[in-house]
Amino acid sequence: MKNRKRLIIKFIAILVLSVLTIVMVGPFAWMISTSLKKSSDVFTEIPTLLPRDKKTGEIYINFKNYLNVFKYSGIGKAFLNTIIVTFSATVLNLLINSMAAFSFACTKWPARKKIFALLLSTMMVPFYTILIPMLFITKSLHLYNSLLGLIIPMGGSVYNLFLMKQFFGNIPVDLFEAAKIDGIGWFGLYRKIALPLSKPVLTVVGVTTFIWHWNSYTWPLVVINDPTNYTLQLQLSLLVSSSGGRYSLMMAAATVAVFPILIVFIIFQKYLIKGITLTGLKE
Amino acid sequence: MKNFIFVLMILFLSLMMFGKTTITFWGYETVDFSQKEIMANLVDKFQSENNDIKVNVVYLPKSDFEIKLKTAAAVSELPDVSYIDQPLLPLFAKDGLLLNITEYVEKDNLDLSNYIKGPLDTCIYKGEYYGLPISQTSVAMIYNRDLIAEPPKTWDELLEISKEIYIPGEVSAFEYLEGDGWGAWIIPAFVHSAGGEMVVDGKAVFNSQAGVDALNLMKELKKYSEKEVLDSANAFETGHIGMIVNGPWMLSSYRNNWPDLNFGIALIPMKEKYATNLGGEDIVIYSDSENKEASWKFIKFLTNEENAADMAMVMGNFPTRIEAANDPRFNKDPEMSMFMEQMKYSFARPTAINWLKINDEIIGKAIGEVLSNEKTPQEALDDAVEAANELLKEE
Amino acid sequence: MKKSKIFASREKLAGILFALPMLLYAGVFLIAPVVLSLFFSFTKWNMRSTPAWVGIDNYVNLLTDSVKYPYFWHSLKVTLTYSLLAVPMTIISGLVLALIINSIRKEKLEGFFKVAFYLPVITSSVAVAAIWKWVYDPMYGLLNTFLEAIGLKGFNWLGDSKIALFAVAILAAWGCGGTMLIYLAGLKGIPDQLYESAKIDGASSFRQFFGITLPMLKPTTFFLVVTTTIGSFQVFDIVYVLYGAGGGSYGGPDNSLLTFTMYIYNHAFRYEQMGVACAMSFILFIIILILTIVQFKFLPQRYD
Repeated sequence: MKNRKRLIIKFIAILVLSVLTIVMVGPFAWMISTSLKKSSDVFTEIPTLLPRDKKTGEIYINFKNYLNVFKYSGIGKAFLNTIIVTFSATVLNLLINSMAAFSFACTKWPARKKIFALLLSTMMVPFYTILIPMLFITKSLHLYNSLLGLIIPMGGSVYNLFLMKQFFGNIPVDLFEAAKIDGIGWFGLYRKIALPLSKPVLTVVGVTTFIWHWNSYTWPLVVINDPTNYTLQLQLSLLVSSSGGRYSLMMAAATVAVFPILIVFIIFQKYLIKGITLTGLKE
Repeated sequence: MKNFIFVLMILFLSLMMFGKTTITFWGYETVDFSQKEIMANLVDKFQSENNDIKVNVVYLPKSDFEIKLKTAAAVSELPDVSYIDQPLLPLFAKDGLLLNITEYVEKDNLDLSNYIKGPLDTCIYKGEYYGLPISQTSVAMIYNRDLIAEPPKTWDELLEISKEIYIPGEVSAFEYLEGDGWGAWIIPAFVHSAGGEMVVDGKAVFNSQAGVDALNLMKELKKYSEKEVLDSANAFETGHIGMIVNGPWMLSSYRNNWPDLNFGIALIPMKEKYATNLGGEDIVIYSDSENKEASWKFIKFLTNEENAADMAMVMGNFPTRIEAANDPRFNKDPEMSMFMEQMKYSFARPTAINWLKINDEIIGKAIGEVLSNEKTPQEALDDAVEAANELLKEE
Repeated sequence: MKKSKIFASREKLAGILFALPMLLYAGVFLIAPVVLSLFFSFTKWNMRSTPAWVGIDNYVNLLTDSVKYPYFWHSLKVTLTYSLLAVPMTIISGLVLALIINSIRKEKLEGFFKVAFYLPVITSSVAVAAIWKWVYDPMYGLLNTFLEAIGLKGFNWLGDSKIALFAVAILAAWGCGGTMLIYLAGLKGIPDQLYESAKIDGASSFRQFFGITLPMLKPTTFFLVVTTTIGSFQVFDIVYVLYGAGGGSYGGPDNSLLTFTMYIYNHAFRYEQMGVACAMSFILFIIILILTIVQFKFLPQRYD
C-alpha cells in the first residue's frame, strides 16, 4: 500500500518536472532549431522543432546561418572586447560589492544605516533617467568611447551589495567572535570567514553579473562611437539589422552570443551547493 | 601601456596620412550585404576623387539610431556627417546643432531644382537649408493576390471587396488602424485622401468632414476584420488578411521568409484623391564639425546626379532626385515602382515640436475611442483638435 | 578586555575602509547622476538646449494637466496592477522551482534542472517573444487550443486590453530564473543539523518546511520582495520584447501596457521632454520609497 503511494508520488513528480522542463526549455530549443533552418522554413502555423523542408518534408541540418554570422566583419574583435569588459566588470563588482556588503553587515560605524538607505534609494530611479547624467560624468572622466567606460561606470551594483549583505548578515556572530579571539584581523574575517561561507551567493552574484554584462546593450550603444570598441551585442544588433528579417540568421547570432554564458553557467552552477556545514549554531 | 601603444599608432598613422582630413559619417547598418558593397564603392570613389579626404563610415542599427544621435548630441560627441530622420531636422536645426548650408549651396551654384520638392522641403528650417535629402519612402497598400484579384481603387471599392473576402474567424479584410502610435501615423494618409489637412498655419484642423470620413471608414472596415485574426502571428503572410498598409521595408522579409506569399502592391484606395505619408532621411553636417568643407563635398557627392540612385539603393528607399527616379532599379521593379507611384501623392508630416506626442497620445487616443464606440468620430476629433492646439501653442 | 576595545575602535575604521570603494563608486556614478536628474526635473530641457528653470511646473502639470499628460495616471495604474500581479507570481514560482531543485538528490540531475530552469533568462528575447506569441496566439495558440479542447472559450491574450497585462505578468513569472537562483543560494545556506534534529523530534516534512525552511529564508525573501517590487515598478523590457515600439511609441493595445517607465522613456527620448521625464522619475521614486520603507518596517528581515 505504502509502496504504491510512493510510486504514484514519484510518477506525478516526474510528470510535473517534464512539463516544467518543456515549458522552460521550449523557446531555447526553438532558438537553436531555427538557427539550423533555411529562412523559408522558419514560419509554420505550429512551431516545429526539427528543421523540415516545407515542400519536400525532408528533415535537414543547415549550418549556413552560422557561417554567415562568423563571416560578419568585426565579430572576432567584438568577442574579445566583450570578454575583456565582462571579466573585468564582474571581478570589480564581486570585489567592491562584497567588501561593502561585509562592512554594512558585519561592522558597526556611524551613519552606516543611513548611507545604506541612500544607496538603496538610487535603485528606485529608472536607468533611462540617469542615463544622460551618467554619460556626462563618463565623458568628463575621459571614459567616453573606451572599453574602460563600459567597465568602471558599471563597476558596482546596489542590488548585488544588498543581496550579499543579506547573506553575510546570516553568518552566526559566534563564528566571528571565535575568530576574533584567535586574533584574526578584520581583513581575515572578511577573507577567511565571510567569503568562504557565502560561496552560493557569491556564485549567484558572479554568474548573474557576468550574464548581465555580457548581454548589456543600451550602455555600450550610447558610450561607444568607434567600431573597434564595439561589444558582441552591438555587433550582433548590426547583424540583426542586416538580416533582412531572416529569423534563422538572427537566431544563429543569438545562439553564438548565448553559448559562452551558457558554458559559464553550467560550470559555475556546480558551486551552488551547500556551504561549509556550520557548527555551534545558536537556536 | 596599451593606451601608449595606441597613441603611438595614431601618431604613426597620422604621419602616414599627413595632410589628410578624416570625416566621420554615421549611417544605418544596411539591410543587405550587397547594399554595404555599394556604399563601400561610393566611399572609395569619393576618396579617389578627393585625395586629401578620408571617410570613416560608422554603421549603427537603424532601430537605435535616434537614441544614439540624441545621446551623442547631449554630450557633444556628434560625428561630422550623418543621416537624420526628416522630422528631426528642424528640431536639431533649432538648437543650433546643424550647419546652415545655404551659403555653400549658393557658393557652389548647386541647382536644387533637380531634387524632388517633397523631400527637399524637409531640409528647410526658417527658410534656410540645413541638409540635403538623401532618401524618401512612403506607405502603400500591400494585398494578397490569392484573395484579391483586382485591388480596390476607391473607398467604396475597398468596402465592397472587404465584404466579399471576409470570412468570420478565417479571413479578415483589412488591417484597420488602431489607437496606437502606428495607427495615428498612418491616418493622415486617409484624411488627406478625403480632402482634409492635419495642421494649417500651426492650428490642428483634422476635425473636418475629411477626418470624420477617415475614422468612419476604419469603423466600417472593422466590421469585416476581426482583431483575433489580425492579432494572430504573421496573419497577412499566412493568408488571413486581405490588405494592409505598410512600407517597402516589409518586402525583404516577405521574400526571405515567405517565398510562396503571393502579394501585390497598389495605391492606397482614395476618396477624393490619392494620398500617402512621406518618410525618409536627410543628410546633414553638424555645426561642431572641424571639417565642414570636406563634409560638404561628401554630402554633395552622395546626392549628386551620378550617385543619388546608388544611395537610395544603399538605404533600401527611393531616390530624391528627379533624374535618379528613372533608374531602372526602381522603375522596372514591379513592386518598387508601385511605391514610387504612390510617393507622387505624398504629404510631409507636420513639424511642430510636440507632434510626436500629439500623434501618440491625442490622435491615437481618438482612433481608439472611435473604434471602441466610446465617442462618435466627430466628438473624438473635436476633443483631439482642442487638445492638440493646446500642445501646438508650445514653442 | 583591552583587546576587544582595540577591536571596537578599529571596527569603525575597518568598516569605513571596506565600504569606501563602493561609496566612491556610488557617489560618482549613482548619487551624482540622481542629483543631476533631480535638478533637470525642475527644468525644461530637450537634451540639446540649455536647461531652462521652470520650478515645480513639471510636477504640477503632470499631476493636474490631463490634456498635456493624458496617460500619467493611467500608466501609474498599469504599473501598480502589473506589480500586484507579477511580484507575488515571480517570487512564488522562483521559490517553488528552487525547492524542486533542492529536493533532487542526484547531483547530475540537479545540475540539469538548474540549467533548464535558468534558460528563460538567457534565451534571446526575440525567440522568447516568438514562442510566447505562439502560446498566446488567438488563432493557433497553444493556450487557446487547450482551453477549447476542455470546452472553454479562448482569449486574444496579448491583443485584448483587458487581459494583456495579466498575460504579460505570467511571462514575468516564467522568467523567474534569477529569483530561483537566489532562493537556491538561500536554501543551500540552511544548515543540515536543523533538519536532522527536527527529524529526530519526528517533525513531518510539512512542519519542517514551515518551521525551518521558510523562517530560515526570511532574509532572502525580504531581499527578493524589496528588489522585485522596485524592479516591477520600473518594468519596461518585457513589454518591449512582446510589443516592440508600435510606430515608435510603446504601450501595447489601447495603451493598456503603457507602464510608467515606458511613459518616462517616451517623454525622454521620443517627445524630447527630458525635464518632464525626470520629474516623472522622482514621482515614481517617492512612491517606491514609501513602499520600501513600509516593507522595511513591517516585513521580517532576519530569521531570529
